Amino acid sequence: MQATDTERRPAAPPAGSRDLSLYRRRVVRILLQVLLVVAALLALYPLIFMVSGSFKRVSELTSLPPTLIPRAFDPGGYEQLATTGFPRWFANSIFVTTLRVSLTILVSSMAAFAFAVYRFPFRRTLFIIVVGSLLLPFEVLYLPLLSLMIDLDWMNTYQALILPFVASGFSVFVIHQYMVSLPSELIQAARVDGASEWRIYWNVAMPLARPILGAISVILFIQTWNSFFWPLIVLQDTDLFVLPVGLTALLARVFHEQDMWTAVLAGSTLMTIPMVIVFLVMQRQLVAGLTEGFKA
Amino acid sequence: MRGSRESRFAPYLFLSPFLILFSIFTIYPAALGIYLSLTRWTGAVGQEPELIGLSNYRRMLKDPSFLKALTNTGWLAVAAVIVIVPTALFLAMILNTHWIRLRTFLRTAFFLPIGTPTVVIAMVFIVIYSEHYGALNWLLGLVGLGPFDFTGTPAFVKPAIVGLLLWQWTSVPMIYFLAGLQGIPPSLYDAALVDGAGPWASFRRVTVPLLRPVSLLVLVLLVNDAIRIFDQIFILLFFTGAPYQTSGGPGEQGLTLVLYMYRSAFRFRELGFGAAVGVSIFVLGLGIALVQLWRFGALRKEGGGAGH
Repeated sequence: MQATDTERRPAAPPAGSRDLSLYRRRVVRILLQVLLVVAALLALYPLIFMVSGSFKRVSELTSLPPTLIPRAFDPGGYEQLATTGFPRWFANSIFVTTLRVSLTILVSSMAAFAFAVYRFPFRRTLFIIVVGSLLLPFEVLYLPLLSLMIDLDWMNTYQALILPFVASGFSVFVIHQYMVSLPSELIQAARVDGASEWRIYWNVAMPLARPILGAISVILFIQTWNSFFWPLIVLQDTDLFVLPVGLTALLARVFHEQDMWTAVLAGSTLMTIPMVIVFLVMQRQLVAGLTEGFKA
Repeated sequence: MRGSRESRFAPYLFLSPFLILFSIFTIYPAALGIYLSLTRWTGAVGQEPELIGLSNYRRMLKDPSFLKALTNTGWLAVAAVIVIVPTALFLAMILNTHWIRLRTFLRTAFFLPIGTPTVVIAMVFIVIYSEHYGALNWLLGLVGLGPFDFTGTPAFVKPAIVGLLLWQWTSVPMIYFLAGLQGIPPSLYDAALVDGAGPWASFRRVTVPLLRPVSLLVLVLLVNDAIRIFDQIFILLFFTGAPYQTSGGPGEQGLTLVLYMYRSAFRFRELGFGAAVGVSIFVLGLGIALVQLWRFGALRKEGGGAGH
C-alpha cells in the first residue's frame, strides 16, 4: 500500500474509473487518519484525566459528567500530599533509582567488556549461564531473596532495594552484543600506546558504547522507578518507602477517606513527571535500544 | 610484556564484581528457592524452615485456587495477545504510511504509556472504571447502558484487566512492528503491485510473512509479561473481593499465579508454599519460552527462505 506513489501525484487528470478509485482511496485515508487521532486521544485520556483530576475538588472528581478541565483549580490534593510521607518517598525513589541504574551500568558493562574483548577459560560457559539467567523471572527469586535479606539483616534497608538487581544478565547481554562489534584495532592500538586495560575499558570502549548504554539506562530507569513487588515485601518502615509502595499506602486510605483521591492523583502526577521526561528526552535511544536488542 | 600479563588477569578482574553479585543474588537464591519449596516456613522470627518433602506441591495441585490462578493467567495471556497484537500491527502499519499527518504527535501519544508508571495507571483506571463516577460508565450511560461495577462483578473483572493491558502494553509491540515494517524493502510491494495484487493480497503475501520473526518476538514478550503479571491487578482490584488486596477480586476472577504466590506467602504466612508456587511459575515460564524459542527458530529459517 505504501511506497506506491510516494512522491508522484498523478499529473494528468485520470480517466473516470480511476477518478473513482482515487476518490475512494482518499476517503479511506481520511477515515483512517481520524481513527488514529481518536485512538491517540484515547491513549492520552488517562494521563490528561490524572493531571486534571489532581487539581479538582473531590466533590468534582466524584461527580458526573467527568470534566476535562477542572471547574475551579484547587491545589488541595497537593497540599494534602505534602503532609504525608510523599516528599520523603520521592527523594527515596530518586536516590535508589540513580544508584541502582549507575551501579548496574558499571558492573554490567565491565562484565560485557570482559566477555567481548578477552579470550579466557570458561568464557563460553560463563556467558551461557549469564544469558540463561534471562529465562529466570525475578518473581521466582523473591521469596528466597527475602530469606537471604532476613539472614543478612537487610530488611528495611536501601541496599536491599539496590544490590540484588545490580548483576543484570540482560544488560550484560545487550552491551556485549554492542561491544563485540567494536573494531579490535582500536584496542590493539591503545595497548601499543601503553594504555592499561582499565583505561582501554573506560576511555575507549565505554565512550564508543554510549548509545547502547543510554538505551539500557532508560530501560533500567523505567524498571526501577516502577518496581513495586520487591519494595512491598522488604520495606515496613514508612520512612524508607519508595513511590509505588508509598502511593499504594495512600490509596489504602481512600477506602476510609474519599478526600484522599485527589492527593493520590496529585502523587500519581508527580510520580509520572520524571518518567515521562526521561522517556521523552531518551525516546530515540529507547526505540533504538529495543530494536537493537531484537536484532541481537 | 607487562601488557600481556595484565591482560591475562584482566578479564577476571572485570568480571569479578558481576560474578560475585550474580552468585549471591541470582544463583544462590535460585537454589535456595528449590530448597524452601520443600519446607514449611512461616517467616516468623526463630522459625527455621522445616523439610516436609513434596507436600507443598501436592497441596498446590489439589488447591482449586491454584488451578483458578493457572487458568486465569492463561486466559489473560491469550486475551492480551489476541487484543494487543492486531491493534499494535494496525497502528504501526498506518504510522508507517507516507500519507499520515500529525505523525510525531501520534507516535508520541502511542509511545507515552511506556513512560507511565504501572501503579499510577492502575490507580487512574480504578477511577475510570468506577461504578459511580467513572468516565466509562458515563459514556455507556449516554447510550443507555449501565452503570456497571467493572472491578466488582466477576464477569467484568478480566475484560477490565485486558482493557488496562491494551492501554499499557500496546506501545512496545507497536515499536517492534514499526521497526519490522521499515525493514521491508519497498521494491517487494512494487513487485506485488506489478503482479496485480491489491492492498489485501500484498498484506497477506508480503507484510505477514516478512513480519513473522517480529511477531514471534512480540508473542514471546507478551506471554512472558502475562505470566508474571502482578502490579496492575494488585492495584486495580485493591478495593474488591475479600479480604482486600490479596484475594484476586470477586470470585477470584483476577487471581493470577504471582498474586496467588503473594497471597500464600504474605496473607497466609506460608512462605515455603509460596516458594513452591514460585518454582512452578518458573518451570511453566521456562517451558513456554522453550516451546516458543523452538518454534521461533524453526519459523525464522522458513521466513528467511521466503525473504531471499
